[in-house]
Amino acid sequence: MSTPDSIVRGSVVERAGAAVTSRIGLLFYALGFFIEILLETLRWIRRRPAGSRVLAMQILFTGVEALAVTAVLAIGLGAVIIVQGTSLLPQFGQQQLLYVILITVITRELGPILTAVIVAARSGTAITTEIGNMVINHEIEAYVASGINPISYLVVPRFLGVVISMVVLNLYFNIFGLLGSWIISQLLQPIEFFHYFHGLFSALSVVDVFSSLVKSVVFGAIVSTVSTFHGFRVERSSTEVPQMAIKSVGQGFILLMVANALITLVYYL
Amino acid sequence: MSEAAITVRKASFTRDGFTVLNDVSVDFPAGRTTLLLGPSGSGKTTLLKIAAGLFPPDRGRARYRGVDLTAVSGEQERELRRELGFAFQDGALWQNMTVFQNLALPLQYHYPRMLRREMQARIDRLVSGFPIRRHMELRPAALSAGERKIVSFLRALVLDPRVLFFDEPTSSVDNQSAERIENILADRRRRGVTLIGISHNAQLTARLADYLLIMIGGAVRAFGPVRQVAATGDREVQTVLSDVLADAASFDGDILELLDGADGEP
Repeated sequence: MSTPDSIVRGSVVERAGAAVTSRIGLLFYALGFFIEILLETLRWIRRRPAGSRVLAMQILFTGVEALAVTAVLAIGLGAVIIVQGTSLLPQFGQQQLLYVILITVITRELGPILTAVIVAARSGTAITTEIGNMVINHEIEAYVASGINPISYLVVPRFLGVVISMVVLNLYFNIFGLLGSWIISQLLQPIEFFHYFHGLFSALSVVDVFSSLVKSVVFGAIVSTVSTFHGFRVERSSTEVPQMAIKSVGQGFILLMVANALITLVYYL
Repeated sequence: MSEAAITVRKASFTRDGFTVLNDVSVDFPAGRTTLLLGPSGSGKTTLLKIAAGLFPPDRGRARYRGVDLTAVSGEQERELRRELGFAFQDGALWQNMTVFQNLALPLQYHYPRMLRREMQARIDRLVSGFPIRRHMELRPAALSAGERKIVSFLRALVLDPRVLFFDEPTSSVDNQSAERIENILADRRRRGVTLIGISHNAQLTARLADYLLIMIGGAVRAFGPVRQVAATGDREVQTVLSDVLADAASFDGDILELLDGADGEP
């Protein structure tokens, strides 16, 4: 016979079990959603249907309009590394490490992840909010009713747009971080132009470029998938939209950090 | 009864613990007009959307030409969807597009090689007779509720569907446009399009309905040819008919008289 205590314990265990089951179910649903995006992306590229305008608008919003904030962040970070490096490293006789540090921090590590954080905060929330509002206004039902696959028309252009923008923004981050910051640092700690870039290219390897590129693509896929997925999770009420936007950013950041750690781990294997 | 165009089998739907639809099975006859009547909250819109395959029931199935509408995908879904049009009660227009773009997108998506000139001509024909033709570059936020409804109705027609679902297409719409909508529906009916809809418009019901489906509390209370349903002795059905067709109050005759324009058993 169950005592009140065991009923309470049982209900806690049941609730915990239900929560875990629900999370696992959601995880599989998200995986299915991601696979559907990949399949529809392949079809989309082959057919090039009516979503080209959505793709162009997504690149404009995610890529072009984020240039200023990316540039400021990259220049600031690069300038700090140059100024600190040129003043601290010579004290240990390791001034040649400045270029390795610049490539490691800007090209391989912080460039991709900071770009991803900017895109997740700006575009990820916007995408979740836009799709969530479409669900509430029955616009998604209208796409289905008109025979327009919402994954193909709404998600794929955003997926491609965010991935392309992420790669381009990462490239911009590198340009501003390595070149722009050198210009800024001339005001404080002048380094000869040829000497600086010779040192940089000597420290840069193909693996660094490849690692940075892979991270951009993976991070773009994560931000776009998570933000569209949470947009579609909105069901009825407008109050769900900001809740899903917050979840989209939170889960996006966690997945970005995990993916970053995994790719970096593979790099050092 | 004619062959079924849309078949709904044992459809149940629950939302937030409230049973919206309870074990509903209906065969919507092909080439005929079926109007769903019932008090607000009786599950009409839910049944219409399930029949159109817009969302899956918790239990049960909806089929069109033998294909499960909630399980279909890919190219087959594109083909089937071209044959099904849906006019939403609240318009459900794409907010970031103009009226023209709302009407053009289904054409662009399904017929990517269609010339812009041909598309323009097709849309011009569609909007002729509606005042909305003067506001083609406006976005939905700038339209009245009635105008949004008209655009939604026209968007449902743009692919020339074989089955047209409509949810209260004439409410909040000006008289001239409501008459034009009725005429379009009558024309489609003549051309053998299956019409399945919800309407509280007595005139539209009298003019177009071949079959009536009376819903009460998420279940089908009566379904059949207009005269058979109107002649039923079921008091609740009679109440629904006279309540829903509010215009009936202005008529001295009975429901049969009100629905006199209907064809009865086709």
